[in-house]
Amino acid sequence: MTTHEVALEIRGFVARETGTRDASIIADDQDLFAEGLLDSLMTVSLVTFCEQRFGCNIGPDEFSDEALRTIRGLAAFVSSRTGAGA
Amino acid sequence: MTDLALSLDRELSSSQGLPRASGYLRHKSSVIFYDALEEALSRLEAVLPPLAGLRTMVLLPDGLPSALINLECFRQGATIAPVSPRIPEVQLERVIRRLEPDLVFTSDLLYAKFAMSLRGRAVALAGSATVRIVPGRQGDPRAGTRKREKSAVRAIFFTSGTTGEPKGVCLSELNLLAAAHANSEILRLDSARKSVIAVPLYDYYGMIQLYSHLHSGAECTLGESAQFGTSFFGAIAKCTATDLVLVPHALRQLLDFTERSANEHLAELWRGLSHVVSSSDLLPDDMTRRVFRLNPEISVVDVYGLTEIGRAVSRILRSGEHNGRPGGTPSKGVEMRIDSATGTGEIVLRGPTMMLGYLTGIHDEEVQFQAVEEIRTGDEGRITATGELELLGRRDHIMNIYGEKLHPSAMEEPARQLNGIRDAIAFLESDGDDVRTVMHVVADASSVDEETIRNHLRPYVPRTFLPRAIRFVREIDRTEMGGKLRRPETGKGR
Repeated sequence: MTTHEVALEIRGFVARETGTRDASIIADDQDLFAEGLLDSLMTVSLVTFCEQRFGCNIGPDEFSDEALRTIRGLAAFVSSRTGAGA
Repeated sequence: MTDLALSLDRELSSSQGLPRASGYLRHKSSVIFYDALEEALSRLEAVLPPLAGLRTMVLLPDGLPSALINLECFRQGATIAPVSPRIPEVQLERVIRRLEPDLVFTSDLLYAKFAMSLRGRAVALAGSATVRIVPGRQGDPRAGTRKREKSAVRAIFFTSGTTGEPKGVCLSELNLLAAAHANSEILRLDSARKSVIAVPLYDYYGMIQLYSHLHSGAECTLGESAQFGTSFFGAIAKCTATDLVLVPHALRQLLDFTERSANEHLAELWRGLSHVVSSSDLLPDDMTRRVFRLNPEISVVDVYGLTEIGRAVSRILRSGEHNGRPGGTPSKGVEMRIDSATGTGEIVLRGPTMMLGYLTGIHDEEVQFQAVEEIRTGDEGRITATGELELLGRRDHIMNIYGEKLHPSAMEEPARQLNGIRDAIAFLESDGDDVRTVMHVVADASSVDEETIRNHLRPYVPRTFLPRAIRFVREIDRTEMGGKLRRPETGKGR
């Protein structure tokens, strides 16, 4: 699975979790928390989704990195942990 | 109007406009100095319709745009209704139906997300640099010539509640200013203070911080979340913070992060703080002990209040002193009583920060509310011989098994002190014809097991209430800020 495909899946998950009908409005570089999309419970759900869907481990403090709170950042992180292609 | 309310009114109206103070408002890498605020608000005013008397909904995440919009709405005499951007759409529709906003401030992203609910409404899209108006069904709000009078209701907060329809708490200008004033007094804010505020502006607790910090000239950094420890402590370092303003759950997250990190730099940041300000939920003793271990010189300010009556009671905790139970001393002008012949019962409050009433509807463009004369808090408490309030907990959360009563916090707090447990909630659950106590815990099942938890609780909890089922969960549902647990609707026992 490429990083782009990972990003697509993450975007789809975020859209479903947040009740956003049109996933395409969520840009790659928007801070999902700062923009008001995710709350703390949804953030945990997103981490769980990534761990279960992509088989990577995300520690409780890694999401503390602001870069991981964007679709692009999270997809790149997941890819680096799973060895996915660019 | 009471004498205090009259004198507050005189005092506050004599300081028109924004304070000429140094200091700034910060969000992430964006900063606006207080002495540049007038100009920023004037630029905002130039692109907006006249806001006096308009019902404005602010549906924005924390940031400088939401702070400026909040201030400009207040300055011009609008009725402001801040709403969380994470509100479920069904709830947003309910709020919109009840409020009938003349103008909704939101972002491009949220406008697209809530397109169905906002259809036909006049919208002001707030970007980082500008605001763009999208006319509604009634046309462009800038085009109207009819000016409205400023409403007696200057803010409406829709409380999250635990069940049912959110209530619209209607607040007057005096309520807002009195709460800001009380906050400044409780914290003794001045221009030397620098706060990192982990409470959002769309919550009354957060909005009052903005007003009181401006009023006193204290600096504030907005929009930080304790869930993200690295960036939170980065913000503390960046502004050399003196104060943290948060809810107990957020404080616990920061303390846990500090201990997990075992990082001397974080310990140094804690030592640089002079105040930790907590509100919105009971502040447990173990947490204050952990704070004092990190910094024995710090003052922990525990504020009790509701949206219905803000900043009502407070206590200041210091290391080495006998700090007593949650509750404290009433703010200036606040009257409190216990509705009970036995001395322990429901806490009832009144005073200058007391709301006008709950929203009933909009009629002929006027905000209508059910007026109140006092606030029945729904909290259990008693008043000590020295006139201080002792807060015991939510009345409707008290568990009752065959007449024996226990507040869930009496079990949850000891559980949270056990190594490996990050959060816990206790409640009653039907078990056939019987009822049993259940506990959900957030912990690694590998680090702690059910029997260890039960044994730990034995000294604290009557045998009747020892949890018969303990379940390990990923997260416990809390209200959005993390301030309050969302408790399951279960039977209250027999």
